[in-house]
Amino acid sequence: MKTKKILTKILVALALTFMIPQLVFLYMWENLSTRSTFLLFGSTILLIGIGSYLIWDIVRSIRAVFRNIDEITKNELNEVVPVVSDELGMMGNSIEVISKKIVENMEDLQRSTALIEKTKKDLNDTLLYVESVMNSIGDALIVIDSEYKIKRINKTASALLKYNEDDLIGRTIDSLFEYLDENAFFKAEGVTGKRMTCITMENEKIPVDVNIQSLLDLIGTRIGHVLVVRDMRVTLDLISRLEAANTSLEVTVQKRTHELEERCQELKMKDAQILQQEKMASVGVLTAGIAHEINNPVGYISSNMEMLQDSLRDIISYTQLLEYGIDTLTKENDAERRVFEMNQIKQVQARMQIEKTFSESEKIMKESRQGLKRIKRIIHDLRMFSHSDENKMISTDLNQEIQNTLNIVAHELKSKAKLKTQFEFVPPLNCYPQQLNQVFMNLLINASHAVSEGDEIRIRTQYKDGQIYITIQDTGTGISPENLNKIFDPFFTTKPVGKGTGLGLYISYGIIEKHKGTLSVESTPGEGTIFTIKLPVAHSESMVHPALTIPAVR
Amino acid sequence: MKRYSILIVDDEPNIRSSLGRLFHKEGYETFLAETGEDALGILEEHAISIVLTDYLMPGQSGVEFLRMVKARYPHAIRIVLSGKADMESIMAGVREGVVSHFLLKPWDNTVLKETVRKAVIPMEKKQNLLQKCTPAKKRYDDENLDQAYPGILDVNEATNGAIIIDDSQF
Repeated sequence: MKTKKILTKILVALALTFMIPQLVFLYMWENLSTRSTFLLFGSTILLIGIGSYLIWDIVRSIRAVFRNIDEITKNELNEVVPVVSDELGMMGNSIEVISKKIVENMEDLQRSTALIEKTKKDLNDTLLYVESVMNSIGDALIVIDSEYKIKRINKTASALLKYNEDDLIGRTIDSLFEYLDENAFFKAEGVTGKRMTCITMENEKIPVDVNIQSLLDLIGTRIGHVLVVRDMRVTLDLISRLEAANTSLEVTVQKRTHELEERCQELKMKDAQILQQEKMASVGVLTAGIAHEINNPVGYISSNMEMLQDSLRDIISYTQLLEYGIDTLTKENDAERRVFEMNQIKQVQARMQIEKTFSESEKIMKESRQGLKRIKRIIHDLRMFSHSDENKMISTDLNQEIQNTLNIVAHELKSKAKLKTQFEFVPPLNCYPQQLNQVFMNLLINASHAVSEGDEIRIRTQYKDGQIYITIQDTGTGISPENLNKIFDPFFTTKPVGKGTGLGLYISYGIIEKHKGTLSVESTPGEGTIFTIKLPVAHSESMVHPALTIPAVR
Repeated sequence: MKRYSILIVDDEPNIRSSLGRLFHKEGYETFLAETGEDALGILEEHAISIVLTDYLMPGQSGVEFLRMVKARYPHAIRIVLSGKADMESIMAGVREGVVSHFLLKPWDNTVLKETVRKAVIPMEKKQNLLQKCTPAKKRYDDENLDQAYPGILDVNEATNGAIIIDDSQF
């Protein structure tokens, strides 16, 4: 079809250009007129023209086809120009289709190439990544194949083993370890932290911990192993140093513990000493008062004894005088002499004032006996107060104990303030009376230090709700709020140096605590202070041993 | 011999009677008082040469009492006799010249008697001498003599009538 079309075109063109004008010209040449000559000439020109056009058109089509082919060879496929619709045009169109197909294939090819390029790049990146990860691991990494030949290592591995990477690749793994348990490689779950010894190129033996894991391919076939080898030199060194330190620490701890125990013992002894000292200090406060109490009777008794001795001398002289008189009077018979002697004796007798001596002596005796009685009472009070022979719990009447304490401190108190007592019934308490007396004494002496002329010290005992209440109240100076918080602290004192130990209330607090009771204080500066001791009667059975324990600081 | 008078102040009656007996027997005129207040009343009515007082008494201390005595009766010899004493207060009293002597209870009769006798004789002598001085020549009366020469125990008379204080006793 296409061939016919272009053949027709060629034939028509040839006819028009050569055959038809020639025939017309031959036919017309005979009867040629001028006018017809022109007409003929003109139509011939026209026909030639049309024929030429047809030839040019054919040439054009062929050219287009060639150009398209040329384009294809130049790879500029998009530039394909649509060709006219004769055979050449059809050819051109076929070429166009072909070229389009080529273009499509080429695009596919380009995409595939790009993908390949990208995959290649990704793979490279991944490899680099894996490599840098491997190299950044602080442990030596050795990859072996199923024949135990080294496939890959990281930098740490070559550094540890002192081999070049190239020297290691291909070697079997067992040349690198002193003893390699091959069974380890067959364990499915791998091996973790196995202590081994690896040998470097310089034949140095290095203790290492090795982790072994199987290397599997996609379908699960074992294609090798990965060994992670950790240099244990530093760790082992640290461990041995730690062990040494541990040992020395143990020794130190033992030593320290021993020291602490000793110190503890010392402290316990100190505590006991402090308690004893405080007791002695309060005793010291008392001694002066008691000394005065005893000094007075001792003073006048000893003075009186001297007087009595004089009296005795007088009485002896008087007796001698009487003896002399009786003697003389029995011997003397002369009445006048007897009267004279009698007068003499009577004169001496009168001078001696023996009656006065007698009455004086009796007075002296009476007063001295009073004094002795008082000394006895003071000593009795002291004994009652101190209970020095009993350091055990006894059932005690606290009213009596307070009275005993008052007898001792009375002298301290009476020169200062008025003393008021209100003793109500309290049941006997199972307690350490000596220790409670120490508390009463501390509180009373403190009160006496707080009061001045005209103040009062009131002592009251009460029993309610199973508790014995003892209040010791004074109308003295009172305690400032900031000091009130500290008065039960050890070594807190407001008294001048040497006057107070600062332990009295601290120890009192502990003693009351030991009796399961409480010691509390209320105070208003300028108005006075009340100390309240509360002692439970029921709990006194279960009391702790009086071992000298210092109470915890409040 | 002149009879000296002694005032005994103590809140303990048996002490008072014991000391009273002792000094009575020695020939002193004795006065007894329970408190400083009572004692000041007696001092007002009688010329007292020696005041012997306890330290610890209800009301006021012996030193406080003697301070009042010194202010009113500077000639009297002032002795503290005590079993318990606030030493600081006593020493202050001694330094001020308020307390001339300090003795401890229980006392020794002999020592007490001797102390009183030794104190009273020079006092007497000093007063006699001072009285003899003409007012123009008199630089001290016995009060400020004690202050100018604290602690003097004895004075003597020179041939020219001057009073001699013997340095060797210091």
